[in-house]
Amino acid sequence: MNRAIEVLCIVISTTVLSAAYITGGYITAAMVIVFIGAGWLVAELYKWIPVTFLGLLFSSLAAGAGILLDLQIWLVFLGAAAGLAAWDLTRFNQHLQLAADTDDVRDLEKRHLGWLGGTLFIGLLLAGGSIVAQAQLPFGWIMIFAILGVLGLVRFVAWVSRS
Amino acid sequence: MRGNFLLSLIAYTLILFGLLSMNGPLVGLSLIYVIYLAISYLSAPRNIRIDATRTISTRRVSTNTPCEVTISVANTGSTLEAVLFEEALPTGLKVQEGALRHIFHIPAGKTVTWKYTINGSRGYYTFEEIIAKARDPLWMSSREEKASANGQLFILPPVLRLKNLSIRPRRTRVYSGIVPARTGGPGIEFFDVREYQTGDPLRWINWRLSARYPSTWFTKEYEQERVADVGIILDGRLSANLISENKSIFEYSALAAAAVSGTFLAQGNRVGLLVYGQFIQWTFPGYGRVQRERILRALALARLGTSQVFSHLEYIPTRLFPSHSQLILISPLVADDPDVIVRLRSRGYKIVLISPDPVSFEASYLPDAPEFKQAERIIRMQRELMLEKIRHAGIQVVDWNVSTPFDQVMNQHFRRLPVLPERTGGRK
Repeated sequence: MNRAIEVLCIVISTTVLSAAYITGGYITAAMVIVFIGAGWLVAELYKWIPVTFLGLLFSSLAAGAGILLDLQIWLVFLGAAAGLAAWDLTRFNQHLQLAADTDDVRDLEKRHLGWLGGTLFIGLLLAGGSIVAQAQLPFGWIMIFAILGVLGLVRFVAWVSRS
Repeated sequence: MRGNFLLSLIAYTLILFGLLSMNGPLVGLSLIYVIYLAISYLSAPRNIRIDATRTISTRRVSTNTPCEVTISVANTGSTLEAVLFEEALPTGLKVQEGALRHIFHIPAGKTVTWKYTINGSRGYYTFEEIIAKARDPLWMSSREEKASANGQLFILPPVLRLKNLSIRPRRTRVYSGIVPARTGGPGIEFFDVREYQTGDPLRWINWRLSARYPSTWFTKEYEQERVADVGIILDGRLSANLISENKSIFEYSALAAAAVSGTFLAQGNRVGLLVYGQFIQWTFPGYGRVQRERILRALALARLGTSQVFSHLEYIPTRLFPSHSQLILISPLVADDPDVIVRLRSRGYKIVLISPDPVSFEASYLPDAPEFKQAERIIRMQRELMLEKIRHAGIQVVDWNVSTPFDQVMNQHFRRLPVLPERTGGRK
């Protein structure tokens, strides 16, 4: 079940991102996305795990570039979220290979899908909310938030590397 | 690349570019990744509190007999979303059924149980701990904890039943058994005739001899049968047992020691075991089932070893064995051994040498080439000479081709050979 959803997520991510680029008139970029998405799918079918990292990186890159190019924001967010879900499920399936035949893998899958779905829903909700509820901040505040954000992220990356 | 690092990098880049380009949606996009990371971080297991117990279906088992291991883990802390349990099996054991890795979701206060079946080669195995890796619900980070789940297992060599294993040491013990004691008294086999003494049963009177001497009565004596002291010496020297890099004939020697000790103990004898290798492992002589268990456990622990002191049989501590008792030496033999064995015989010990044949053992692994055949013939001749020298000293030799079952070889050998007359010294 998990694997089918994983493949579906790759397809959704590729389709939605390429659709966003097509609607924006960037046909060549859309073709590149489809080509790379197909490569990700093939890598997934052959279980070339490192390629999923590239897939996630590429989907986020394509989404970021899509926002800079003023493409349909909801399509871009959806594409990015589907890419993240595909990457997550690949990792999850890889971990599940350690489970024994007698383990209740189905239950673990259901629980993980529940958490993943909830997380992506909250992420999309907040991302969408940030678009809808835009507030104009003075430049000084923006700089303070930027510095705090950078410092926070640096600390977070350091914690992640330690753990 | 670690997943959380990659996600942090993506989120960081998006936020930075969003702030630099004053692009709100770009920062909004980063929230998808930030929320994922934040939920993963906030729901990560902080501490794991588990109690593990291991139950092994039996504490002792024969070689290659399956044995079931059950592990129960109780979660005494908070709910663990997903925990991977794994353990390393001691070398020499292998899983026959089941798995060593399991993943469970364990709610607080609940217990999970799993089983697996193992088997393995002779040895003493200890189980120590299991490793639990608890993961957050998104499986991004893990926390490791070791839970003590001790257990031990003896895998004993199989004990074959041997028939007709008759010995005749010079000295026996006082208790009745089945070993001829070279002393007159009650028994089955005729031993001697002596003058009648008050209390002798009438049916023991030798009427023919008494008729010849009318003034005296004569009584028949039978040979008493008693238990004996049997010392088993198992040669655990690496030089004698290691045939090639990974092949050792020692397992056969251990099997022979188990069979012989089991049979002698079943006959009521007092049996001790000496494993002579890297060091001396001595099982003090004793009787009965308890002693059988002690010897089997000693055999389970017996390992090949090398030592400068014990590289020759010269240093077998003969003080451990009562004088004139029966010794069973189990050794594939090396070139210097026959002289030592003959000297041991000259000290009054009755010796049976059981020698697993290393030549046939090695030949079974070699290719069927003429040069190997030639080499085999030469080495076999050398071995025959060694064994002949030992036989001439009055030592019973069981030359065991290990492709033949041990019980079959022993039963044939001891059926064919009558009790040997006393003879010492080598070939003149």
